[in-house]
Amino acid sequence: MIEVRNVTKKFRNVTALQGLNVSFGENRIYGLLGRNGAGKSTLLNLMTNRLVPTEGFLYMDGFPLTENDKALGKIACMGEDTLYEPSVRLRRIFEWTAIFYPGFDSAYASALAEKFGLDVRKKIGQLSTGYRSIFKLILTLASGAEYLLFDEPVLGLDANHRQLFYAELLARYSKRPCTVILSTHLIEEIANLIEHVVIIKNGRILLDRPSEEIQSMGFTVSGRKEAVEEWCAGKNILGSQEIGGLMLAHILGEHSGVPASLTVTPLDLQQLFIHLTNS
Amino acid sequence: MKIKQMFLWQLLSSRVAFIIFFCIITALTTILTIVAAFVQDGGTFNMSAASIGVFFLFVAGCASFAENLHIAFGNGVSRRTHFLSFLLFAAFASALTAVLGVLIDMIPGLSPSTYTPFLSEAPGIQMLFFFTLNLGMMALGYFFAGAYYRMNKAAKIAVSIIIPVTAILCIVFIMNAATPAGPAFQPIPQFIQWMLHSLTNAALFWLLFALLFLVFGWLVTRRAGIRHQQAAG
Repeated sequence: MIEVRNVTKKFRNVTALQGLNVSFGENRIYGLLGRNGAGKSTLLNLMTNRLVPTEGFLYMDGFPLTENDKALGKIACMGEDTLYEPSVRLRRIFEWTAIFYPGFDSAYASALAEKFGLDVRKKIGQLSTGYRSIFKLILTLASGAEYLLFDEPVLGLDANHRQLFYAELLARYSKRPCTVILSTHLIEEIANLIEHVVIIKNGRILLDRPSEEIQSMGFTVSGRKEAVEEWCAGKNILGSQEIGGLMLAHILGEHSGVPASLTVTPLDLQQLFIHLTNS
Repeated sequence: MKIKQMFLWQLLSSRVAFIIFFCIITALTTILTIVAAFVQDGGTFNMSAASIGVFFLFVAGCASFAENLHIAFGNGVSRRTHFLSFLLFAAFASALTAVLGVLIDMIPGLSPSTYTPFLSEAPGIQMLFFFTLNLGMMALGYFFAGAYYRMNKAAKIAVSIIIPVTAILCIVFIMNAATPAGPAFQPIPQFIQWMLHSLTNAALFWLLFALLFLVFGWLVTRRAGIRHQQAAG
């Protein structure tokens, strides 16, 4: 388990994280959500020792995480930055990663590269944004680490590659359970993947709950516009969408007494996120 | 600790540069020795490969900060291990370059008619001197690169101007320090004379120099962060 205790991170005049407390348990898929500048990347960089906290501590299984090689070796992180020189060939980096991560599966990495159409003979500097993301995804997935952290994993990826990534992530997770933390803005795409949601706002934890609990926080009703508007009157509406004569409304609270003419579906995570993070 | 892995990575990533450097120096020394022997105009020749190695290791030291740190960040290695592995690698590279430099410098000696040794001390003492000098230059390069990495844009510009100007002024001052100076500056020529008195004295100075800059190197390493967020700070 990774525990973040009272962590504050300041960059001169900017406070990226403020007294943050959060835990990431074993063998679960977390969604780390937040608006731009909320502090998601800073948190992931602190968890991987790429930044040093201004205040507070991070622990893994009760031991300090910062500057702890043993604990850090259990984490593989796909960050925003490309940490390799542009002149290095991808296959060389696979070889180097195998030095640091004893569990690195070279055959799996090669198989993934083939599936994604990534030419490992290329140099990093020759890759497009999308393929650079793919390369980093492969390194993380094949690392054999117990904690896989993904910061904007699908940046620049087309729909086909995004779908392939989610499928491969689930395959890796079911074959070898691990803790996955997905930080992304594409909430709809990961909504069905994640088991636990952590939302950060202005450097603080806004919401930290299992997905089932979040779904029980509200519901979505859909049907003819007039019928939806009539039934929703006076209720706590997170948001709504209209398509032609039909309407979809996201409502906070328990669903009871919904007329048969309206369809009830689980609460949309993205709508909840927008509602919670809107200033 | 992943010192072994980091050390191995540094060996793997820099081996080509070292092999090319030593091949070029060896080839140049051999060719120029042969040319000097054939010309036989009474001139002398000494390639001073060991001295050239010092510049090479300064550059290697400069290159050892950012890339190594990012490799460490990307592969679950702490800053402490990154620094210790640099220390280990710097000692290894300095020793190797000192030994090979002194050995390569023996090539011109095969043609005694044109050869005048640059240093007259025993090879062992020369190796010790170049080892400490190499280590000092690697530590200095590492510190420069680390300090530059940690600076914001304004500080980089200021340092890029101030350091060369200060260095030039220092060189001018030191060169003039040999002439009689006021009592406040008298220790400087005395110190320079002490250093020039023997290679062992100079080796001691460079060892202390290396230790000082290794301490500075650790200070710029211990809280270094990832580049874009570092810049944001």
